[in-house]
Amino acid sequence: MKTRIKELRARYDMTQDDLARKVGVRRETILFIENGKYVPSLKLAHDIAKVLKITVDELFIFGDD
Amino acid sequence: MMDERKRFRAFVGILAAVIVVGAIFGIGSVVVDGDSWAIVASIVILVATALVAIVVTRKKLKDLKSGFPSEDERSAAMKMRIGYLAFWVSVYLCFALGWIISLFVEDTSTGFIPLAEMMFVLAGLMCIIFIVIWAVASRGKGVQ
Repeated sequence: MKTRIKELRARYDMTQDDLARKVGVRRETILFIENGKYVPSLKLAHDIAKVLKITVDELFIFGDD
Repeated sequence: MMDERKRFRAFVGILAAVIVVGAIFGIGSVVVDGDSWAIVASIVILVATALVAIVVTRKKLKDLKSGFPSEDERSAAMKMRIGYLAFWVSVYLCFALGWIISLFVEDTSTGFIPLAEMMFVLAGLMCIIFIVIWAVASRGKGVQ
């Protein structure tokens, strides 16, 4: 599973630290999600999507899409 | 819910209590029945605990100052998984060690490590297994 977090962060000129602080997680968690090594909970996915002004569905790119 | 500052204070308090109680028991056991294994095991466990405590506390303090939470959903899930793995690896290893000792050492109460001190060794072994699994898992793929 891939995500568009990195691309959207760049659009809003946001670092991993900024995003992590805004959603209340550690920076490594954002790093792992961006690299597709950790699948976040629905709550965290929702929070990230909200910060990046996008829907949860648009935030992730699944293999069968 | 407990905020990060309170959580940190609670963590430091528990850590200090563990080290102080450990030191009292360690010194007490040496004074009451001071054989070399008990002394060495007590010192090793105390020093290791203190070192780990210093490293972890410094990291938590740094996170607190930077505004990051000390724990989030991924780190909690990792702890659960690593604890689970470490527990089962330790259990099987302890059984294997017990079986090997029973095969090759006829009387475990004499000549080899006494049973009471064996508990220290096994506890230390479990800690080492936990740390090794933690180190491997931290470098790898997270918890997926």
